[in-house]
Amino acid sequence: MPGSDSDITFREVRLRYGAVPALRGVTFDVAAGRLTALLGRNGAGKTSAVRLALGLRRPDEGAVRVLDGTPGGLAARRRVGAVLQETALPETLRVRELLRLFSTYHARPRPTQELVEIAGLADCLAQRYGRLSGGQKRRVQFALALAGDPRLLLLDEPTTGLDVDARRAVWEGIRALVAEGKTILLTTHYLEEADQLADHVLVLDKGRLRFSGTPAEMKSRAAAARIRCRSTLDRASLAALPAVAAVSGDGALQELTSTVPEATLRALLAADPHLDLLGVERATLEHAFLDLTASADAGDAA
Amino acid sequence: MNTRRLTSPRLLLRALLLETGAEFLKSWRMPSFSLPSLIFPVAFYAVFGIVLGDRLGGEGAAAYYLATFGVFAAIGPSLFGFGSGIAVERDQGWLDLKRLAPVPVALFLLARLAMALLFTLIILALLYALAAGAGGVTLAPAGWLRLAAVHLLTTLPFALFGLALGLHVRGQAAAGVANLFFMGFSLLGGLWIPIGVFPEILRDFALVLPSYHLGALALMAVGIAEGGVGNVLGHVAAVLAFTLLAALLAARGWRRAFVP
Repeated sequence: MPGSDSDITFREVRLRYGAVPALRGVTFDVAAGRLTALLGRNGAGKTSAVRLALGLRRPDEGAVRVLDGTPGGLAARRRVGAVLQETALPETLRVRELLRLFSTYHARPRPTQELVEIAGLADCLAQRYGRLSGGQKRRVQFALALAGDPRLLLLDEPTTGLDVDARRAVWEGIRALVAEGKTILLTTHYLEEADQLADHVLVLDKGRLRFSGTPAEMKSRAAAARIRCRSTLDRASLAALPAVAAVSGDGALQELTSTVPEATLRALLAADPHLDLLGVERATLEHAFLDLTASADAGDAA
Repeated sequence: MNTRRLTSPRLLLRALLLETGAEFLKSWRMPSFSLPSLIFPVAFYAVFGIVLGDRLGGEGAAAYYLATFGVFAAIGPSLFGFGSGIAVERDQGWLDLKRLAPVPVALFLLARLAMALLFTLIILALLYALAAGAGGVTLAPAGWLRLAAVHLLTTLPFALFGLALGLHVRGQAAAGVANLFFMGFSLLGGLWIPIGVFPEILRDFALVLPSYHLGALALMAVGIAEGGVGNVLGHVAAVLAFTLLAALLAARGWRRAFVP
């Protein structure tokens, strides 16, 4: 068993493709037995991080360790399962054949029946892979990743391109694995997915790590709420209201960000009897994400 | 937990068998691979070796073309199975997924080679049956065995060459390039038409082609000395040299494509 509590560690990892930097000095840990979401836009460096953790690439600088060993080494490959992004499996093989094939790669494969249940493949076992829907294909890849009953799972955008139902089906499977105590690193650009599934969130933007913490901590990075309204008060008066962090908006519609929306609203309604078009939105992970990456943009420009 | 027992020979053998089975099924169910591999050599042989053979080539035509079309037949599955197969699966990420499996990567290559051999065996069985049944080719049992040995050994150098090609050329382009080499090796190596009818410059060029030397070895197996050029050892040495070159190119391609 690994001696540390981290199943993956990245230390000052740098990677470039030719002249294009993909990761610019990234340090993080993936805690054992938890689900960590690596969140970022397309091109943020998520897939690069996954490929490094799998040993499909080596970092230009820095160190990557997986299960206290070298990524991609035999010891690691025995205990790591992966769903890669945009993988096309042979279309002429049937689902049952693919499952059986991957089971033979492992000394102690997980029983096929369990793979079928977790991935929800019972009704397409006899079908050829090429005839499956996008969601079914992803679920087959998911099942193949589990064939060796791995301790650590790396899922590179497992739900990208899936419709809502298919996405929820994959989430079900992922939750079942978390309940079994697996360590999972999942990349996604869906904030909702990170919010729904993750114990820990890492935000990657343009090859740099912008945030590491729980989803709740990430939300607290954003102001608690956004209040939109049409008010006769001027900007300075609005900014002076209790708990207002910032005021923006054009002449017609103002937007306040507030750390305690209840206090702000009470004062706002009292101060402006003509107020209309009121809308209040609690902070979401999306706000936090935008705030985190926007402040980083400002930092880059400076 | 004991993780060291995973590479037991029994498990590896089982994995190799299943992998070979999967490779075979995958290709067999792909008409764009299986139909040309199976039908072209058999149909060509039926036309050139048997129907037109008597008229154009005289007595020995059926045996002559059996020898050379057998080599042609064996090049197909290995060159395409490795050439375009590897290139496409590399692009699609399927090979990445396999490289993550805790088995030696040689297993996948061996299984693919076994698949090419299986295909070749099926085509050869059809060709030999046609030759003996309709072409009147009679060989001693040792002659059939020598011929089959040359035909089956053809698979290895072209599998390595295909692997090199599949690792250097990307995706769909590889199928086109593999086709060019397939035609080139076959035509210029004298597998379709005896090189005796070629102008001298092409006859000289044939000497650098492994297909020519394998054809010559196959002809010797059926008792025809091809143009008196070289002896068994010379032909074998030429094939070995090509095999080695292909292996070096494949190793270089592997490093380029996969070493992280």
